[in-house]
Amino acid sequence: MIEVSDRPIAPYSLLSNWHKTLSLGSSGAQCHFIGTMRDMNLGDAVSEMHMECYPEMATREFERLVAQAKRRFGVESALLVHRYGHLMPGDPIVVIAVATEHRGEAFDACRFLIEALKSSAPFWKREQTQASGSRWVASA
Amino acid sequence: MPIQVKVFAEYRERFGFDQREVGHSEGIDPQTVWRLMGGGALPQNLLCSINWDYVSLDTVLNEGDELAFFPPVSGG
Repeated sequence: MIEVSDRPIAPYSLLSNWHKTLSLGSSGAQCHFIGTMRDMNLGDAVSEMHMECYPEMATREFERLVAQAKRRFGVESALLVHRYGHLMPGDPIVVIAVATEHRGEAFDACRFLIEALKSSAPFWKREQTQASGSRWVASA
Repeated sequence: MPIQVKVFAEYRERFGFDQREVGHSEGIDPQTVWRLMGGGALPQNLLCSINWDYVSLDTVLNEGDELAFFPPVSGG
């Protein structure tokens, strides 16, 4: 399941629904990752953030990354949901889940998806800070 | 058919628009479109895509393509 949304996301509801789609017994491991907005960056307090997105291309990138994860790590099923729009500290930004045969591949595939997403999926953060005003966040 | 051009993040702010059309001509590429739009010198970190796939700035465009310019990404 892949989704790019400007509405708030509910990680545990997404994970529960994804879990119902799995073919029980074939995968022996799942790895879940939830990324949330922090209230601090580069030593400055961050009060809110706007996440800009190119939704059509982001969806294409997610499809490509999930296909790659399936080839490289034997991922049987994957969930990849990313938020854009206005966010507040603590809001979930991204939810990733993978199901694989064994635990090693599950950890590796989940790590691969978040790292690859951060370097290729077209999202841009603009955060509001008290000290420096509004600023674009450099890629990490 | 014209080329549909989209710009994101700091480049959207620099141009003052998020999308516009540019006329297609034989052999036109993204770096030419950038200059036609008044972008000036190519920024070192400028990225671009055609029809949602990353491409280099000298990729030849076809009629009706969707071209996008943007800075390095910072999602996740």
